[in-house]
Amino acid sequence: MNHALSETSDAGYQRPRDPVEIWLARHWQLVLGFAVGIREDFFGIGGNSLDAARVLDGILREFGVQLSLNAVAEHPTVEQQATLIRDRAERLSGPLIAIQDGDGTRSPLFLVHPDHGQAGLYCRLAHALGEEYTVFGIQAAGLYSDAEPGRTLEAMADAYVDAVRAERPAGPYLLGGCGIGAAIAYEMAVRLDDVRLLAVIDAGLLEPPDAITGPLSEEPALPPDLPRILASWQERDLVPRDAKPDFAARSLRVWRANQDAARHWRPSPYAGPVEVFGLMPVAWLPVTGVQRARECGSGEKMADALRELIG
Amino acid sequence: MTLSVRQRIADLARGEPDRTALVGFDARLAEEALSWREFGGRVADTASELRAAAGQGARCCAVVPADNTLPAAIGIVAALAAQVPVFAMNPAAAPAEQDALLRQLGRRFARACLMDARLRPQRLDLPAGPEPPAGADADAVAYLLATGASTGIPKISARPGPLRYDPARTPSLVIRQTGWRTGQRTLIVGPLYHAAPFTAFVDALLDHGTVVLQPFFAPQWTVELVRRHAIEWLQLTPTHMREIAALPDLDPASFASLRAVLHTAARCDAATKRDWIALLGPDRVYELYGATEGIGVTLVRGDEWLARPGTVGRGFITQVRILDDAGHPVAPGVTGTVFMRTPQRAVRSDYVGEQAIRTTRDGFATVGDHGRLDSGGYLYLEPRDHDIINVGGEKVDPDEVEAALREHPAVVDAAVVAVPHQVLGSVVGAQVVLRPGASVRKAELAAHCGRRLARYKIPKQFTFVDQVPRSGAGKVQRWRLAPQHENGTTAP
Repeated sequence: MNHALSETSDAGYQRPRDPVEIWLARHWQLVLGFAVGIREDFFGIGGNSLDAARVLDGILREFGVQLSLNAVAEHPTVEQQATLIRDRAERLSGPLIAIQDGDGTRSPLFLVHPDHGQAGLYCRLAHALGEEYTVFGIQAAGLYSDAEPGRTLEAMADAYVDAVRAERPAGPYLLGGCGIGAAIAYEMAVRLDDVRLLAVIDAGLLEPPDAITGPLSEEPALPPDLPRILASWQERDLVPRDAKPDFAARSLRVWRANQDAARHWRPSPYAGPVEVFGLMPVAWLPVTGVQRARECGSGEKMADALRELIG
Repeated sequence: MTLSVRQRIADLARGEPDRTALVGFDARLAEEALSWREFGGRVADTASELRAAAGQGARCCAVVPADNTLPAAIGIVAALAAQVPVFAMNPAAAPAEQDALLRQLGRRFARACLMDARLRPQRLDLPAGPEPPAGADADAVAYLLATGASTGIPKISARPGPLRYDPARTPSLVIRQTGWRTGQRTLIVGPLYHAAPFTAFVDALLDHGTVVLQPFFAPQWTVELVRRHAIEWLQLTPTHMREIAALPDLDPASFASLRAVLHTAARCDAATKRDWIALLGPDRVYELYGATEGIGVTLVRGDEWLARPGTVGRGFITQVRILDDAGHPVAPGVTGTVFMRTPQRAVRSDYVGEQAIRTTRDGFATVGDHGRLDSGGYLYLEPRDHDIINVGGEKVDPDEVEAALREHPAVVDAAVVAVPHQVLGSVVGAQVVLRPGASVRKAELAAHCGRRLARYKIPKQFTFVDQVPRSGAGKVQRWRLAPQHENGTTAP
């Protein structure tokens, strides 16, 4: 008698995989009024030609690329549109990547990249929090430019704190991350005044298990077969189809740098509380730290708990 | 041979005094049954008190807060027996709405008696209105009901009186066509201050039936009451039907005693209609279209509907004519204003307020609905003009969008309204009620609509709400959702 089984052909949410897709998804959200995945059809979810013009206008202002209205019709998804501007991705190589604009009534949440350096895995969490929340991802240096990856955790924390202060000169600050991102957020909290939240997030709450390790899970054989590695990532839908082998080389470099940085890290003392989402206790945290467990069995529950903390 | 209500109730109470007349629930939901002896006695007592309070020849009406309780039921029948015009009022109406209604009563009546829960008539001062309309005879009114809940401008519709029991007309011939039997067990689900539940209630009692009053709607409870009291006849709104059909583990055997379900009032979406036809079989599902004002009716049974999905049926002792704006008849298939004519002029009612039904010289009348006839004379309704959303020149029927949204497994209910847009004039906005515990992305709802609707019909705004404001008859009260009401009237 109910229609639960009749037809549910929703493609489901597919998160952005690189800064261009993150930017486009955010821009669509601004234009359409709700969050989107990368495979949603612009017109199929109610976008009209006025909306398409606004998308193109935003692309022109951000990337300096003038696309025709036809471009939206022929590339109606975030994934497809991203291929038209991916060669301008360097524009988005800075540490801060805006994920969700929010309504400006709350402090933004800064979420630091895990070991693979990317921030796309936080998009789903941002949407689950609600469109009124402002969320920034922090991505590693050297993924989309020739910049050197951060060599130590402290150096990364310094650089990211500068970027956060440039965006928001005064607190309160809301920080979080998974994997090495949790450790970097911890070091950032040491450096910032008025930290309202330091969240250590179990990556399993953000991504399905097969994706949690990101592009890399183990050191590849030497010398690495870059095209093969890239193809395997693409097969798992972790990177865009038009990514080049040199992206695989950069990713490997960032991942190794992060592994090294984590190995050599000596945590600074931090007196504030650490909110732990997922498994307790977190072994690498200094014993002086106050760990507080936040009950959550799923991403939705985590979003609920985070909302409570953020207020 | 017709009988006064007083005489008929007295006869029935004498005839089978121990038979159950009414089953109701008190404030703690304890079930309470009244035999015909008890019911007849209480009606007689209350009627004489009311007659005394109303006085002789005074233009006085009774106002009954018509929740579905035993006191409200007795108050209504007592007023009918006393031949004091009775206004069945929504006790939960906002004060401003009640004031507006009482002002309208004040145009016709000099004073009113409020029948409280203890059934003691209380003097109620009516705001003094202008002189009563010419020819308005207070005694010639049997009962009054508010209409227009879907437009936000309450009107009062008066049924000429006095009401009498007529074996040929209690209930009306059309209702007799919907599986109704004399002496049946009837469950009243909708509120007594709405036309369909009100008339079903009165007719069922006068036709020697047993009436069960459900004080408020809860789908599981309705099913349980049908089963427990072996209910034979049931009138529902599409909203009731939708919520019942969505119950998990719904057992068709619960409805074994039912001869028919009649639905009226709002348009029923096709999915819900099909659910019920599957549940009861096409022979037990009836739909009736006819405004409160009683200018005519159309009737359609489930099997006819399956052959012509979307129709509200053919006129029953009613001629249906579609006229264009100039008043000329249009060809089958062409949309125009729906006019109807019925020989049963005696039961025609007109508005108490200044608004009147539009009537042609040859006696066809309309409440302003639009629709078309097919070649077989079956009527199909179009949405009312004031509900249509104009998106940059494209017309959007909110009912269609709401029906599409409700097909989503996570959605229980939805209401769709126009949202102002700088360039397009307006776009579609949706208020969505999710199933308990369910969550859904707005983009998924949009995509879901996109697979069913033209693109300009896809809602551009989604708001998740706890409930959609509906009248007791199940019509979405869009005026409560309109942007200018956002900070004013709140949904009940």
